[in-house]
Amino acid sequence: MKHMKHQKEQFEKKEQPRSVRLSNADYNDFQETAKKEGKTFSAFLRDCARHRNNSLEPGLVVHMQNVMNTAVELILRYEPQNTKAVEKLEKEVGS
Amino acid sequence: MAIIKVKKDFSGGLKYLKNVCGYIYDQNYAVGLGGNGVNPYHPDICYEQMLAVKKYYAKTTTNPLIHVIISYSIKETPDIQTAVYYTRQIAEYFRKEYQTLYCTHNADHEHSWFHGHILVNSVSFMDGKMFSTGSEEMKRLEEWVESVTQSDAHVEYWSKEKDKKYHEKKARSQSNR
Repeated sequence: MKHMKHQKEQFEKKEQPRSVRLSNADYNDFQETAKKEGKTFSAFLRDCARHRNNSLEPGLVVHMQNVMNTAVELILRYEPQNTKAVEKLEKEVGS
Repeated sequence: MAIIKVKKDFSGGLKYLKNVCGYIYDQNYAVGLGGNGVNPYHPDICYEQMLAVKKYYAKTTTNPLIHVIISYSIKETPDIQTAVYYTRQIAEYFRKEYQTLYCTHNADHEHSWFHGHILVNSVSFMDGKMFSTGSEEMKRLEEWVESVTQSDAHVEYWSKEKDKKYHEKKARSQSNR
């Protein structure tokens, strides 16, 4: 799929340069990981900082949501009379 | 022939995303609700889930979503079940990278009896990249729709002005009835 460039608002533009001191080991480690993930060094560090409290990546959350959606669809198809289970799952899905 | 309308709204922002999520759930018309990576049963939760992906990649500004509307031709889509099946299959096009919410509306239109709505989160959940609606990508979407519906498909870019004219025409025809 082709992608479009994100049009940044003024507050999103990267206008604050900072330098960071790293050991050679850390530098090599981060550099290698950034390369594997297809990111620049700066993008990699920004992502680490931004998501330091969030271990759930969106791809995993999407997958979990789809599993729940399938469960609800199966109940609706094979046990449509089981409305309590359906309502419970519908509310829990994604909340 | 299936007509694919592609709507983007840069001015509405996240409010547009919320409004469209609510519109999809119109109980009078919506059939075959489904989603990829979102809760298809509650519009508020669906909105929050799409927003969460945007926040994760720090891309909450500019165009929040791509709204794809597919008008199925009367000849080739004789019943609602076929339209529901088509909408679901067409939504698969976005499955690998983008959250989607879709449904089929059972509503009377000029050239079709049924039309499918697919809301696509403009930010990919895989890598945060933005969905492109350029000619190459839309050509690929046309080909996908053609393979699903086994009929010709054509993409139209839908602007706010066109939308306004369409709704004015609809209001006039409804008041004339």
